Amino acid sequence: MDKMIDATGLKFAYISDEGNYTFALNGVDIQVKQGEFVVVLGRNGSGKSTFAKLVNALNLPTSGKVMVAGMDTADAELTLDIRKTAGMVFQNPDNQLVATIVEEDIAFGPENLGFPREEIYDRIDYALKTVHMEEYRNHAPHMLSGGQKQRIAIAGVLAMKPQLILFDESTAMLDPQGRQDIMQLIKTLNQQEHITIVLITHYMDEAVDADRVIVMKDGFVLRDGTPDTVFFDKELLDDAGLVAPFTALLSRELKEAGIDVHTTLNEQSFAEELCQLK
Amino acid sequence: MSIKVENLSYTYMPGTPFEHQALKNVSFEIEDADFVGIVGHTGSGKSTLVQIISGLIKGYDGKVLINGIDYADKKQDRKLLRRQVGVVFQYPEYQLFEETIEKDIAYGPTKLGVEPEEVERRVRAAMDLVELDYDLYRNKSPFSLSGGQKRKVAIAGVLAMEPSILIMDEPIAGLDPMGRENFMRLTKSLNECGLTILMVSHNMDNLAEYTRHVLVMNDGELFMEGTPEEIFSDYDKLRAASLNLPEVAQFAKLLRAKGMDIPQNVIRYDQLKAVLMEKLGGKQL
Repeated sequence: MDKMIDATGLKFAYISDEGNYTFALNGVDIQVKQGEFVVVLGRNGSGKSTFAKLVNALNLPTSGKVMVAGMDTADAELTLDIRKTAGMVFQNPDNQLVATIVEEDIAFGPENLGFPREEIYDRIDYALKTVHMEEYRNHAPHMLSGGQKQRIAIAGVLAMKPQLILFDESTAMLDPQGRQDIMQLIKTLNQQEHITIVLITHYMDEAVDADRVIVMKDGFVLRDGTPDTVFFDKELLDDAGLVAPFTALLSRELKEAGIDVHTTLNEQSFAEELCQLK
Repeated sequence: MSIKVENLSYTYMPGTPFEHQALKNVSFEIEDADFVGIVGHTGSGKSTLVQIISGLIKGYDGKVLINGIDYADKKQDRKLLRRQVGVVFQYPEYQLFEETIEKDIAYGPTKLGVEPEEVERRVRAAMDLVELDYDLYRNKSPFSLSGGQKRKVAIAGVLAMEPSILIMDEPIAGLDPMGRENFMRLTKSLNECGLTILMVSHNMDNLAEYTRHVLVMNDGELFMEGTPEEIFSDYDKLRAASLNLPEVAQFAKLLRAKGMDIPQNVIRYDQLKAVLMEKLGGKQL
């Protein structure tokens, strides 16, 4: 299956207390290919999380359609298969951990799918090894640090052997070290485990290495392109309420001031270029 | 208002298998109207520290003096402490509960027994400070707002108590970049009005841009203390506390490693840009 996510004309409305419809998604078309690393950016309330929940079949479209690995999320008989295919990691790991022992927490998904014992153990081994938390197998999740908890939450998703993982601001609550570790892990999942990644974030630096960046505003897709085409488009960034990553901003401003540099997202090459100028 | 912390130690669940010393002999002083950033990795003791200063944890060793007064002393009126020290917790939008924004913000001062007219004045002033239009928003439900706006309402509720010290634990986590920037500017303007600010955050970039004084916690100890320039240029020590440089300082370090002479105290975007403009002959537009 080439297209991991195929959303067409996707709309979603919440019904407010007064009975009014508020559209969180106003008709979006988003395609994600198998193996891609896609980052979704946009201000609070732009529709990013709503999109993720529609992919995971946590919500169903008001109109339009989402296909996940060829399966229509609106088909209730496919819901379980869709959730096996598309895992989700949320912002706060405390909301996602269910058991008092790490091993049991990771076993929760596969156990509920009714796998035999050996298969469950194999999956726990695989998941813990992939997130580098093997030595914490018998620990209590609530005694771990934020970054470690998030690793366990990811391991729980990995134990379902998903083809796609949606990360909804999964680094927002972590300290700098935890954030760096989780980003490294997400990249490894994409490159070595060939899992398709959709990453929702407010940290622009996390989007720099993505294959593609989708910028959302008011429930619409404002731009769907490479990081280069997004982060040097000042008008687009202003319109979407985003800020350029540090390297993009500095290289653009120096260039505008008449200094002979290329605009870039690459910190290393930018530093070299500057040092050759002096 | 000033804060003085002397030899502060605290142990969670002493005498049990879960005994954990969260603070070890911490001492520092914060001047009136200072803007202080508190950093440290998860579990370093920063939240325990601000909870003790806020008067939410008792039974610690050492002393905490707010404007010279020790509220652990039974002769002191702890209500006064609650009035003077405003606390904004992580995800303060979860503190909202009233039907309208006006009622939510008015809740604190009303409970303090403030006269209705004065309450209204305070609600107006607090909404003005956080840039929420009084007439437009007062009758709306706080739950109809976006995340960033909800946070503003929660902070307005704390400001309506007219505290002299404002303590905030990770107030910008989960906000979008514009929301973070607006929030930091708002905090700066509150500070300029004379409020003493203590802000716990993982965001070194924002703290480097805005604070005047930084405390670094590590394993329950006060590991570093100084100006943002002193703290956020010391790579080795920050790494030892499992922290990192702000991105501007990281890039300045990279330039130095490649042979460019960048002063050690460059930690803010405008500083770095100015240094590079001067070195490379850029024209200010």
